[in-house]
Amino acid sequence: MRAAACCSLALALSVALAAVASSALADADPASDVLLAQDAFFPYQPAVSHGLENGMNAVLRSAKKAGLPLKVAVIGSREDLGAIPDFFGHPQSYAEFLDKEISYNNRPPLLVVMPAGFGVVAAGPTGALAAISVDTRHGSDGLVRSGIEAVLALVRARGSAVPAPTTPSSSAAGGGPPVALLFAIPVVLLVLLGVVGLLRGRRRRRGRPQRTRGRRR
Amino acid sequence: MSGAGRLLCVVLSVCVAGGCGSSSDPATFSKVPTARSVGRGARYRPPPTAASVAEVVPVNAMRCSSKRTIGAAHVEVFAYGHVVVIAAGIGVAPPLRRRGAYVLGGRCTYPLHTLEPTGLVLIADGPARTLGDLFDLWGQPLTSKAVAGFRAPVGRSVAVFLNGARWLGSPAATPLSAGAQITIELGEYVTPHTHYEFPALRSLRSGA
Repeated sequence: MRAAACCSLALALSVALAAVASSALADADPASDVLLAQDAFFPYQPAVSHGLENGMNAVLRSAKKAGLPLKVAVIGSREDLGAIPDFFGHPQSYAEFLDKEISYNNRPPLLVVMPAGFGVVAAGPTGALAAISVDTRHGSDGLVRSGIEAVLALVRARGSAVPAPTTPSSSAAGGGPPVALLFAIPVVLLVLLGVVGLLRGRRRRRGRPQRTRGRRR
Repeated sequence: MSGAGRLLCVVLSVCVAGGCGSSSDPATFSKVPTARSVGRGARYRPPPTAASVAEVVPVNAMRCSSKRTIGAAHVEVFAYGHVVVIAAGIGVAPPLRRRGAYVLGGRCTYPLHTLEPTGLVLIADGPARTLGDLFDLWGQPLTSKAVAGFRAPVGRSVAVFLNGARWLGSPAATPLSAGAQITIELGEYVTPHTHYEFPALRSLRSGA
């Protein structure tokens, strides 16, 4: 009897939860608005390097020509989801939600990239992305680079091929100079200064005795 | 009730809440929330520039002077259940410099302005501002009976929610302060958001 009451209560709670969740209406995710005017949404922070942004836009243009007019949302943090941050970490659920928001006159194929993985709607078999892991080590640039790989894979899964765009290497991720270069520059300058100092010292040492000799002469 | 019965009960409960595996991705939501799309037609996408902004004249004592941005609010508008896009470039004097969906800048910016079509409103240093100030810079009406190009049904009013709570004053008098989440709606009830995850100001594509 007690168990039956518990069961009824659990069921009632579940139904109530489902109702609350389904009424959590939204349009407050930035990607839904941005994707109406362009084909890719990029994370706010850290900013994606221009090279990769251009690379993603180029590969999306090529994919469109190959018959896959894809929209891509790259989500790097909860901030990229505005008023629905709970979708962070759930790329497939967010892709399904975003698909409904941006299906305006038609239903564009959609790819969502998050550190947790990919979400795909109407863009081909999800298995096409099984071999690709999301690069979570290089911030937004890593996510965009993984997104480009995913676009290429989705195009390949349709039996087409598009050229891979030229993008900055992962060592240059973040848009700035590599860390190794930042350390190397002062070291090289110090070595150069040392060499110049040594050469000057040698000249002085050579010069002094010569003058002395000259005076003696 | 037997142990098997209890197990069945638990499974059934989870199934009801979770939609029995409707998604391949185990999300926090027990069911994918209902999404709202942008409405059809130009009325759902009003242009950004009011005549007064185009002429670079003061609007409600706000000057186009590109003051330092100190915060942001988020505003969303729903008319008859659909999204009305808050354009990028409100409060930015033309010519607008655009890149995709974003406005990178213009001749100068007013103390309230938008650079992206997401409802993110940037607020500059200065006196307290209201939702009416934003709509005046947008060149769109905001009254208890009308929003942008839409009128409320007979006998009903425009509803404004500030951080999820109903604002009972005049819609135009709603305070527009940093961190505010404002939902404006007419014609159909849309559950308002109570919170918005704002991006860091330095990460926004800005510059007059």
